[in-house]
Amino acid sequence: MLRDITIGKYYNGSSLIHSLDCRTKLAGALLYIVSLFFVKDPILFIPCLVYLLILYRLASIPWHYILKGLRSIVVLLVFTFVFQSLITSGRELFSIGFLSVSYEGLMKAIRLVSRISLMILMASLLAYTTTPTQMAAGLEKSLGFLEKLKVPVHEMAMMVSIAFRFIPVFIEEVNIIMDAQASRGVDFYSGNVFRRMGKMMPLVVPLFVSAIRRSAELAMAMEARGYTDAGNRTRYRELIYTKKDRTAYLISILMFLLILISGLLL
Amino acid sequence: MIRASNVVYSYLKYGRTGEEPVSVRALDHVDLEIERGSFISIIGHNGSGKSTLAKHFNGLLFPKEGTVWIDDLPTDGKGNLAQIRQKVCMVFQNPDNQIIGATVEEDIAFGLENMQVPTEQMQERIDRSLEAVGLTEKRNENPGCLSGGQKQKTAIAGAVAVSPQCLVLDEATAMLDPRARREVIRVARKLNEEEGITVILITHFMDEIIHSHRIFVMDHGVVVQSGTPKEIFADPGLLEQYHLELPPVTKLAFGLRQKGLPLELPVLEPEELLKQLLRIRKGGGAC
Repeated sequence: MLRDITIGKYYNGSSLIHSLDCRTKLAGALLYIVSLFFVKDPILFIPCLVYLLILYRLASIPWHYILKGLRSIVVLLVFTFVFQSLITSGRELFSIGFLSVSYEGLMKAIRLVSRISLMILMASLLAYTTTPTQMAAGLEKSLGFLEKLKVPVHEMAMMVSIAFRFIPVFIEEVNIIMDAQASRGVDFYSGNVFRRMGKMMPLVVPLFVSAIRRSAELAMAMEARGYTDAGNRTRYRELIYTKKDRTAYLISILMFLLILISGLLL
Repeated sequence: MIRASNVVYSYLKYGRTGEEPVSVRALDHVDLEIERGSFISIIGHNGSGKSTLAKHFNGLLFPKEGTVWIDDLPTDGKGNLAQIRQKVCMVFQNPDNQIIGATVEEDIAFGLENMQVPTEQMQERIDRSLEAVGLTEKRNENPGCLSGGQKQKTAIAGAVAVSPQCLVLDEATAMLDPRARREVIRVARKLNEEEGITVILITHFMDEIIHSHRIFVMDHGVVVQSGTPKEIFADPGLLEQYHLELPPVTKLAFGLRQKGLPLELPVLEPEELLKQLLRIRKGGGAC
């Protein structure tokens, strides 16, 4: 269970997609996801999928990573598919007992499942090619205008990137605490759901204590290194758009319009 | 470089709810002076106030009485903190709780970003500090995947990049294995000798301090002894009194002397002991 969590899906590489500014990738992914909502005819999902596969190829991400992205939502997809085909009424295709599947239901199910899968695949591609730090920096810069409205964008971005930094640290800590408790006879794996939740308490309390202690130490270390809340810092990696980004923007917008128009026409 | 005069620091310790908090005096009229370019060690058992003192050197804590001067800047929390933190950098005990960046490089950049170093200068400074600690080939790694010693060296590199005059290692070796500890100390000595950075080493490992120019011994918030390693280690009874132990080699030499070997005490390094033993054998000494 907890031991199997792998976070930080980043796939280390130096492909074209990796080298794009993360704001470009973020915008591209968003445009693609939005455009999927305009697709009605299931046939149209095929070019959408092809576009996505080309992007995966460009990012030199191994094919099995595509399936890996979908595996976590397989249950959701199956569930959606079955329910959508059953509950939608219309021309009956076939029926098993009192359950009947209609043509409209089937189409709707295909549409929904394809849409969710493609959305997840695009989001995974973004995660595979962008580190959390880059993502935080990109969001900070894109949302920088909100600073004028007194939204603490910089602080929030800093919190997000620190949170990501500490996920592996806390997972390791959970494992240590679990081992320590298990060695004293706590059995985390038996009993019903409520029992098992109760057994989590001796895990949660020490974890919280250590998290608070850690954050105090981290805050002190950050202060010692000259971090202040004034926010007037320089940047090691300036986010600068290059020619590649312009081309990528162009392709993303073109693709968006293409899907949008064909989706509205068909 | 650093001067502390009559420094007192106390904090309130809260017991169980309902009990009155008691005032604990962590530093009790501390006076000391640290010369530029020297390698200083501060030793003492747990709770002797050595870490509290270290935090005064960087403006993390301010004295309740007395003054700490960094060069000519008093650490009173009135505006010169940024300057002080650029002059004196600290490395703490737990490597996981002081690394902020997602890669080694990014972490080293953190301090530079805070000090508002222009972006164009950063690459060169990062390159130099990576080289100084010997982590150049790890620059793009995730700090989480490094060993404890490498993490501490990352933290040291982050400090060195700011080009401080003084580096405080606040029990920076306490969580490391012996080999990583030696490695971190080696880097600190190198920075001291080659870059002229004043190093203040806070530790309770006696073998780490034998090369220091000066040692301060602390007990109950008071600097009880100071001197060169030879002076401090000359009297084993003195250290015992403060719950500290001699380095193993020094202890061995004491034992041998008690058994009648005419050794010149104190002996700090294995090579020195060996040399003395060989001399005794050649001269046909007591044994």
